[in-house]
Amino acid sequence: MSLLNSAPLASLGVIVFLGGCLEDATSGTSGIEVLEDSIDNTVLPDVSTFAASSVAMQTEVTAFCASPDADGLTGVQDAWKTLALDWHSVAPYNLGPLDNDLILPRILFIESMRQRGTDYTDTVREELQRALAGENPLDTTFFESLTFTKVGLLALEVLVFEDSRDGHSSDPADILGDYEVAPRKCAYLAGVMAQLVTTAQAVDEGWRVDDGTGLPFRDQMLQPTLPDGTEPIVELTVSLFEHLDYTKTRKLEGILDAQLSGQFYPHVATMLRSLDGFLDQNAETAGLIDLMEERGFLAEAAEVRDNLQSAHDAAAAESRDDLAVAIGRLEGNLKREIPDSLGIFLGINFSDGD
Amino acid sequence: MTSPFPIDRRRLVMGLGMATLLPSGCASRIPGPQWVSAQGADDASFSLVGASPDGSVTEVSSGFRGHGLAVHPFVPGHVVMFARRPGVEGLVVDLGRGKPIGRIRCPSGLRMQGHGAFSADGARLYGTLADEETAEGVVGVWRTDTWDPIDELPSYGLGPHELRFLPDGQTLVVANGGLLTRPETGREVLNLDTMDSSVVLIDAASGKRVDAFRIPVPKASLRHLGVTDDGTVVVGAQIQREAVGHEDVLPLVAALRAGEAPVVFDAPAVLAAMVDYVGSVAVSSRSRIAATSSPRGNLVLFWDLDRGTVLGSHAFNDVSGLAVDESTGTFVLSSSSGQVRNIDTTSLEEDEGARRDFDVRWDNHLTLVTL
Repeated sequence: MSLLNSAPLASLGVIVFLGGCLEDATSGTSGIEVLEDSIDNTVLPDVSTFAASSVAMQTEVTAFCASPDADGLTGVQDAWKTLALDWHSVAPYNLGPLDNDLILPRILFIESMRQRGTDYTDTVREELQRALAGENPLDTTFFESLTFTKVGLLALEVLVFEDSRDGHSSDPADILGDYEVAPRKCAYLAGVMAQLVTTAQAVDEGWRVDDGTGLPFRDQMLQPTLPDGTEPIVELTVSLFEHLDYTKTRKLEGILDAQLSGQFYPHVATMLRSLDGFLDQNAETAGLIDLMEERGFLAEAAEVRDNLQSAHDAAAAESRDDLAVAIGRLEGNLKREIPDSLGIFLGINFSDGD
Repeated sequence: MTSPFPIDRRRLVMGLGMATLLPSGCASRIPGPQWVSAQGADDASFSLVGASPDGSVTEVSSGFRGHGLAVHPFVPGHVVMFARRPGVEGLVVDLGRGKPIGRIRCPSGLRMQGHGAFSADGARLYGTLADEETAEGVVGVWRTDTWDPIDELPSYGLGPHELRFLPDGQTLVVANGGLLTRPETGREVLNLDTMDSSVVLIDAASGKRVDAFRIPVPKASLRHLGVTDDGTVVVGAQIQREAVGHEDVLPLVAALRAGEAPVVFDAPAVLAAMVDYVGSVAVSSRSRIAATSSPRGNLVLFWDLDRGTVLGSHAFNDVSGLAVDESTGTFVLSSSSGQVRNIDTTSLEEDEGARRDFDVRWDNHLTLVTL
């Protein structure tokens, strides 16, 4: 028996029957339609954008390494910023293709801090120095042997926003000089980059293409239950509040990441915009908050919108304490007001065990 | 309230012809195995439910949130459901008739801790209690003819939780969680700095301590137990992570044998997926495999209980209830959304055709009862 069971979906007959149950018996907006719109309008485009950004950065890296110069370095740094911003639109949806393994899910190979809030910057630096000093080929075998703590966005940030010498200068001239005196660094950069492209594309494909489990994950999310028996809206809600908890507890109350690039607050702002888009959609399309209002939970819906706005404001002001408070409130909304208003049963035991 | 995600579970089970929900108190009178558990989401719906593999359901309203169950050793279908802490009562049910036949009450100043067991002769019922001010552990004893309290034994620790008998029928094994909580502060732990958890063997007749075990895992609250036919006790822990001071993966399971040092099971990387939490333990004496559930990790891990190594896992949303049916060689798993799954106790493969989905909200523990 594997360590991650992949029980097939229930029989087709059950799916069809349950599919009928998902249609709202009352007049008004259907919950399944809102979920479908939110996935199709927010999650899928964000996942694809992230994959495309990884390819775009890879192109910049290839050009830079062919002829390292200041403009090329700026191009690579800008591409990393875009890629990391796009990642933070995807990161809240830690399910399906991102959460594909019990022990080493893909999300860790993109954002290593996600596991338990550990900052692996020094781990990346040490491995890089070892690789630059060594003579072993920096080939696919080498990069596949690297643990999640040494790859992903953090590794790329270390590679393009500081030099590899003691002191870790962030001066572009020093970084450029580093690449000129250590040609293996470009091979290292290209290898880590290629790995991230592969991971990002696997996530994108996992949402859109059947990966052997019977349906693309996008379609699995529109079934009554996922293979492990979870209702998709529950999986999604838990994923969102766990990400907010991670952002608050591990980052805002722990260690701020993306300090080499100075991008922490823009990352949070992007994450909030994604969450905002998912929950509230737009003027033409109803989101979950609209559904709360439609069901008469006007005060609760207003509270969620207020807390989203407070979080946006705190991120814009780069106020660490205020942001932690606002994100904590949003996390609470996802645990209480939103599921309670929408009749989403998150489970008794996981939240209230003994 | 109208749900925008209205999976009408009652209509579903009826429509599938898999389960029939009988009104509270109706008799099922169907011989065979029953999966029995506390269930419900609020005072109005809290009940004891017995569900059969054929889909029939017997429900007995309790008026309180139940937790663990004790099964009478001789009278088929007679079970006691203990209130979840800090409740003050238990419900005695005749599942065969689908009716309550008695209640047990906490002596004054004590609170139920959720678990208990019948004596081997069925004449006594033992349950874990705690002083409502100090959390000092007590094993309550009730007569089973009148359901009156008859004795109190020390549990030799704070916050006792699960209690079972060893196969000798004379020795109680009690997991003292070591946590100080009070009714007025709910489930807040008030002694994280000083918590001391243990598993204690107690002579049921004299109340004397026979043996005690502690495991060298920081801030591990030992709470749930499985006992094999040869007297091996498997204990599952819940880590109070906020008091640990680091994020390393910590062991959650250990095997205990009288007169021997505890054997703490490995803490492989996969254990991180349990999120510091074991919600239930079940052991198969036949296959020498222990199952441990984690509703926080949506996962059951299976262990070789002699080697202490992980043999496999089963992902299942909000799984907590675990029971073992040695007659069919099956671990039975339940989730709060009403689902039941069967896993072979040797191959650890799921019988997917045996999945059932009931219109109930199973609480933490599942018990197998044969009518």
